Amino acid sequence: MSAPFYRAFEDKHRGSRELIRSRLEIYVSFLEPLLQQNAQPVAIDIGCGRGEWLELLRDHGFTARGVDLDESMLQACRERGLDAARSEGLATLKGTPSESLALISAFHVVEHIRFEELQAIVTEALRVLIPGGLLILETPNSENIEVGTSRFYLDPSHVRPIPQQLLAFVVDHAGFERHKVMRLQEAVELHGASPVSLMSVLGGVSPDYAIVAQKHASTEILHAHDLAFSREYGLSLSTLAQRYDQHHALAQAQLDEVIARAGAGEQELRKLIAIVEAQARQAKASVAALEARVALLEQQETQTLERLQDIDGRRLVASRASLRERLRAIRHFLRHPRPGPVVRRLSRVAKMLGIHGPMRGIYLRMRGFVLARLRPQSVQPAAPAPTPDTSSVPPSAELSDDARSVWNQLNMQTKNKQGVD
Amino acid sequence: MRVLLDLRVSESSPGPSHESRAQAWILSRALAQGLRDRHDAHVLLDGRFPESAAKARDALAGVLPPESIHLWLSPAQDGLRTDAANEAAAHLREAVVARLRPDVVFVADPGTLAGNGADASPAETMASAPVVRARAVLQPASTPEVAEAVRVAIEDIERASTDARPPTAPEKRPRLAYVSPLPPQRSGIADYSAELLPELAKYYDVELIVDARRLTQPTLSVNFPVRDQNHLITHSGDYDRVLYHFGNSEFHEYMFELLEMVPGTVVLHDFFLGDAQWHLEFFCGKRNGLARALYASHGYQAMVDRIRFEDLSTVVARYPCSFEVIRRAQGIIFHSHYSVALMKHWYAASSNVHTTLIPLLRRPAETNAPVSREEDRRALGLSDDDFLVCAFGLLGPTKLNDRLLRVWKNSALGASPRCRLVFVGENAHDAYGDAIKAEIDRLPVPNVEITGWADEAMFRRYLRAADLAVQLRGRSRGETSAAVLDTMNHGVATIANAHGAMAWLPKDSVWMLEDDFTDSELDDALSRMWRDVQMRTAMGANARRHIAEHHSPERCGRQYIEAIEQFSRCGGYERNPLIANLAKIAPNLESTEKKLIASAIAANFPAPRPARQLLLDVSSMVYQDLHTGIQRVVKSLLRALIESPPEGYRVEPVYGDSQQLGYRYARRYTLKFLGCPDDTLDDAPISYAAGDQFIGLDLMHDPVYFQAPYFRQMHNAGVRVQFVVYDLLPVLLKHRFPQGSADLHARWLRTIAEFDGALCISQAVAGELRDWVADNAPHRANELHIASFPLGADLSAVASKGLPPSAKVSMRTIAMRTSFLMVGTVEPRKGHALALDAFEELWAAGLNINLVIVGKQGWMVEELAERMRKHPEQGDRLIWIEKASDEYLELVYSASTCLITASEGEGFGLPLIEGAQRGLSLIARDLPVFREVCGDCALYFTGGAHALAETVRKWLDLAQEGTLVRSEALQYVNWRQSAQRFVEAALWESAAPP
Repeated sequence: MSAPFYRAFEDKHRGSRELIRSRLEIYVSFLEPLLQQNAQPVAIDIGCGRGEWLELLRDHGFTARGVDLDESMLQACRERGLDAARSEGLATLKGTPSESLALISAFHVVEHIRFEELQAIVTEALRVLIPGGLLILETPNSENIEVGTSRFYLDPSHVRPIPQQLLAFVVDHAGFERHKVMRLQEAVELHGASPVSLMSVLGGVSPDYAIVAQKHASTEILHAHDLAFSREYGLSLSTLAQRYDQHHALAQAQLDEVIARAGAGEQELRKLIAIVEAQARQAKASVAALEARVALLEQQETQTLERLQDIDGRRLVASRASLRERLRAIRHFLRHPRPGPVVRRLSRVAKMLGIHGPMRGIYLRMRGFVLARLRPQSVQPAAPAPTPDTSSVPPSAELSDDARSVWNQLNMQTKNKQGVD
Repeated sequence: MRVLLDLRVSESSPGPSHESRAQAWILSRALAQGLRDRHDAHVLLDGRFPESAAKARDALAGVLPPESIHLWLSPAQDGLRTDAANEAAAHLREAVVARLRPDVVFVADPGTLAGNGADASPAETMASAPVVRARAVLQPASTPEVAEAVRVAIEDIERASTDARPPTAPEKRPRLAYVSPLPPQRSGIADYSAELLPELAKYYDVELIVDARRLTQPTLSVNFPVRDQNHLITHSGDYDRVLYHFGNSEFHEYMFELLEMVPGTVVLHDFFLGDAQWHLEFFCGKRNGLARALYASHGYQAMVDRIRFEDLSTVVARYPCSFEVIRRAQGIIFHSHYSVALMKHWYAASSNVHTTLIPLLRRPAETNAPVSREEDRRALGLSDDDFLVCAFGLLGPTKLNDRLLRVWKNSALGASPRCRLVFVGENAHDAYGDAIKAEIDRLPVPNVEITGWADEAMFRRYLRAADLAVQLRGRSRGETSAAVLDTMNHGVATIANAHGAMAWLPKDSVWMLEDDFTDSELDDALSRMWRDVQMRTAMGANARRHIAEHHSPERCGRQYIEAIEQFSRCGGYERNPLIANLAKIAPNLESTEKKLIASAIAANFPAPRPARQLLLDVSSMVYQDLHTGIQRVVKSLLRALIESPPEGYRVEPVYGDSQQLGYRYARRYTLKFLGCPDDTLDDAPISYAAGDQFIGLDLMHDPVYFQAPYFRQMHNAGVRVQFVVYDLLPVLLKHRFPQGSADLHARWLRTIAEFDGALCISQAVAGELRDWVADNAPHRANELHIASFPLGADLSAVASKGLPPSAKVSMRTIAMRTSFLMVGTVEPRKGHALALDAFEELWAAGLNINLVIVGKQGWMVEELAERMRKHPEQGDRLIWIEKASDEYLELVYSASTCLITASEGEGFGLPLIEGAQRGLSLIARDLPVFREVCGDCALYFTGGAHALAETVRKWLDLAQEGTLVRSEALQYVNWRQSAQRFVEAALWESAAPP
């Protein structure tokens, strides 16, 4: 990769000087004991870049020297009056006398070199450090899933991610007394115990970490660093994941509670509805029974009315019948007069008087006159017309409509047409 | 070359023995096979004996395509005794053969084939094609002998074809009988005829047929001989052609009867003939004429409307009633595309009726010499710069005179004294006419007038004098307007609207408004025509030219002559010459023979029909309406189908009995059913044709079995025969039905499986039927089409009323406790015994619930009935209502809580739906059919009394919890939807083309 490319890349991704400086403040708690223990502590920064760490060391009282391979970076250091030389890290260490340095640091260096080189640097560092001296190696934290799967590879010059456990093992194996893993550069908002989102679990873990390894020394010297070594730094994956799960478990528990309450409420409602429905059914049934009674009463009423009418009618018929009877009696009498006692006596008297004949004639004529007047009214009602027999199917011809019209046409020649319909 | 094999072989024909018949079959089949490669071979079979015809058709199916196998129905041989009858039968046969237009006819009957001396039928020759007779073959014939006979036969055939006779040409001028109103009768058609006759006289010898009662001396009697209708009837054989002019007025009343007797070409001036039919009924005493015309053309829906609408004129305006005329015509001449479209719309199935379109004839007006025009205008009191606008024709609502008047009043023309509007025609004699007259009297500027009846001279004077004509039509049935042609003919610029036939007028000859024009559009047209003289003259000239070109008498006359000649030649009308021939020998026939011959002619040469028929068998209800469940279903379906028949079909209920083969139309019953007076129509025997559908709606075992040969005959003729299957319970639950039911039902099922399809009332029954057919009639397993449709469940109105006196106590008891209801006749399979056992268990456990049973005692349940009547809980917790009117049943439903259906088998399960509709919850046996009907809306149980008891207990618990299964969600259809699904199931399209 070309230098211009890398420069452009760095410009885009590196971050401002101030930002980097602020991040490095976290190591101050490790530096202070060194300053206390040594009058003129010397430090080397491998891969010093623009020299932010060198500046910080100088401000705190270290004699700091940096090495880098990038000329423009070194230029920036020199412009600030920092001691920076163009040299390779391992070679520099190899050329440093033993037990001469209080602090060796390499920020975001070890991911750029081969593993064998890393081991060599660590071994040399152990030789070069004074007892109780510190080796600081900062590198991207692949525990962060986003870093480990994608952000790490943004820089094409990165070789491969170095898990914490591996780097720890390297420094232990090389012979350092103890080491501290510091997780670094996480978002401040994620501190605390508040619930975290899935994205935070995936990408909120501390994106960088540093191993601070200490060379063996006397208990006293070591003890001075205990405070720094005992603190917890940063956010691990398991922490965040746990927080996420807890939050969800809580939400789930709340939901279950709500459901249970709703279910209980529903049951209550159903019971109430059942009671109401039962009452409604009861009411409906009673109404139906009442309606039945009303209907029965109406039926009885209609029947009674009908019977009354029937009785009236019959009475009328009866009276009319009696009238008719009387009329018939009169007519019968007139037609076939049988002389009652009065008439017999009268006729005897008439016979005696000799006027029987004419009297009888007058009487007959009167009778005939009356009979003639009576006759129109004595017309018997016609016999009821025979009810048409609608039940049987009328014997229509066995011809369908179409055949009937053909038949009509065939009959055209004969004069007696049977009719079209 | 088309060869027709006339096979006179039938199962029951007398004479030939079984072997000779088989022989004939073998020979025919071999012959067909031999012929079909080189010639167009067709076979003619006699369908009188349906089984043998079907067998014959199947036998030949492998050899010839189905379209080449023709069936015809000969009259029954034993009915023909006299020589005249046999001669008539021979003529009929000849006509049937001639219809197929063969080049050679090959006759094969077993008599000849067996070599039995002289053949039975008289020697015949046919005018149309030479006849070849099969030579005798010794029998039994082996295969090489058969092949030899076939070869000889083919030789004979091919030799005979060369002796074909050429047709003879007519020698003299044909004679035409012309039936039409004539001048001086006041009809537009009369004037029209006056103009057409001279053209026809150029080709024909024309004789006029007039109505002797109305018209004694037509004006044209000087030119043509005049006869009356009786002359035409008696001398119909003297005329070669007959031409009728039909219109919707009383002048045509004598023609309806005449057309029945003497068929001919019909010119249909009006498509709607309802008014003429009405006139025939009310003034000419044709009994029920309008009702019959409505029924013949439009079916039962028209009859219902006739009763429904109090005003007959609405019915007449809505229905054309013209099919009787169309059916008898030997060809129809229309005057507008609109009428052709109307015919397609109203009578879709009559596509085999020949029609043609001839424009209305108009003699071109004499050239409008300015001089005569000025004279006319002066005679009318107009000066040169007056503007005369005329509206020609009888006034009436359909002429939109009121709209014209309104626009005139509000326009510039109405205000100008120089403009005049004249309505040339008689005013309407009703309220409309009075309103017009009042409106005219109220006008501020009196420039509008009505002339009253205008005779021809006045009419023409106005035509010549007018500057502008306005001919509007609306709210009419859209038929031809002759007046607009008159105005165009005289070169008068015309404004018309695109209503009905006028829409086809050319746009450059007439100012065409839209059918629904606005007043402002008319106003705009009037103003522009007033001002723009050039446009008027140009339009008038175009109009005159158009008329001269397309409506000239010579052109139209020639088209008439061509049409008449073409109709007399083209196929589809072979019936009329046949009848004409037979009419000569008809007097020698006995009456029964005449009927037989007439029926045979009608069967073989069917008249056109307005629509295909959907024949529904309702036999049981015609004889005796028992109000059973099945009959209620039939009635509801029938009502729904008549109200909305399927597209292209007419619903015709039919009935038959077990005494006589054959079905009749159940017209009286249907009229009574629909609430119409039932004396207007007769129950004639049915006529059917290919494309019809027959569906047995009712369940009748004996008549169906008896009528199977008739169904087979229908099936052979192309009618699709299907039956509704309600259930297979007598066969599946034998032990629950009386002895013998299973056999009867199985026989019925076997009969119906032989036909086209079965319609089941649920998918469960369809499945059962499929299984039964696979077991008992496997040869039909793939052929029988089985479909299902759901029954409807409308909330029916309460039909019968009346409560018994015991209702008071019973209702109170039912309402007092939670009541479980069972509705239905007490039969073994309904599970009442089981329910009683279950409830005894529950009562013993102390549950205070009612069991209410509504239903009369059925068969095979004497023991159970005794048990119920003598039960200790009777009247208390057990209530049995044996007879309940609909009103009582509704009350019992209201008072009950849950419906139990414990049937061991059902066809559909309508009681479940009825219960759900009335808000009861449901307990049902877990049967597939109940699952189909209820879905999840019921509580199901399987097993015996204990299972039911447990389910009731569960129901009570759920009721308390409030988690009862709700029955409101039950899906059901109403009868309209059920009828739709029924139609879909019945009118299935066969997958492969026939």
